[in-house]
Amino acid sequence: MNKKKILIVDDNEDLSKGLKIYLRSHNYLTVVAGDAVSAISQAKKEKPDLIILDLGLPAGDGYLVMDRLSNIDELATIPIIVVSARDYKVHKERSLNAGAKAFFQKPTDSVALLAAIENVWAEQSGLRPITEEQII
Amino acid sequence: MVKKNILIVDDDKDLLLALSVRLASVGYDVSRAPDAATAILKAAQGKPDLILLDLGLPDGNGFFVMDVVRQLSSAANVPVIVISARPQDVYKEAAILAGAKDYFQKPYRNDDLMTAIERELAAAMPDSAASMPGLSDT
Repeated sequence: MNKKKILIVDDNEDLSKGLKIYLRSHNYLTVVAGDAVSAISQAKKEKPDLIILDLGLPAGDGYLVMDRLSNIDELATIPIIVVSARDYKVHKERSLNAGAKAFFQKPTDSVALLAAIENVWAEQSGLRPITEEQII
Repeated sequence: MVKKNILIVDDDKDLLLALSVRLASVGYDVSRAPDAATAILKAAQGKPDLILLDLGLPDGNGFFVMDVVRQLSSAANVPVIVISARPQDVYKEAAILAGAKDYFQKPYRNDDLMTAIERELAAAMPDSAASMPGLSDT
């Protein structure tokens, strides 16, 4: 079975490295980008199955990335999970309205993040995804 | 006062729980990781004040964890104490060379471990020695 590829977009190199190792240990391929511009170019080049996206980025922010991707036909349907230090009370709803599948506030619970990723695959394959309450 | 955070990395769930309860009972904030990858992710985003690290882990080993943590700008200087069933006459020197501050072979004396934790936290942040649970005047 082909491994799923996940693009990690975060300007915090420590978190990128940690997420990369964590996701690889769960059998995912990973690519990384450290700013909004390279996030879009990496998405075009790598065609990831999913994007983990920080909101606070150099050269734009996560909302700009979501907006740009949504206007590129071959990238518009890539599922996005936002992982941000920004206040979830403000940014969760805004992220979901912008097209994100889920929002996690840093520091992120690794098990819940993994469950959210698997939820995306379940949703794509027509299976009933588990609810956020079940994850928590 | 902000509690010191200790990340415990061990695939033995019973030990993880017992040590968590013990550390929490003396005033530490505790986070837990059952494998190497989770440990690295938690170290990268949680910035623990100290890591208690088993060597034998399901998806790697403690040496790998130490190596990666040393590359994290936010956690490179976090003190690591190894707790392992592996014989210390074989592994202690390698663990210290890899950056560990101390080595405890299981089974170990809890009081000795607590003393080592307080010592390493105080050494890492000399100005905050008074905030150590064992040294608190409250």
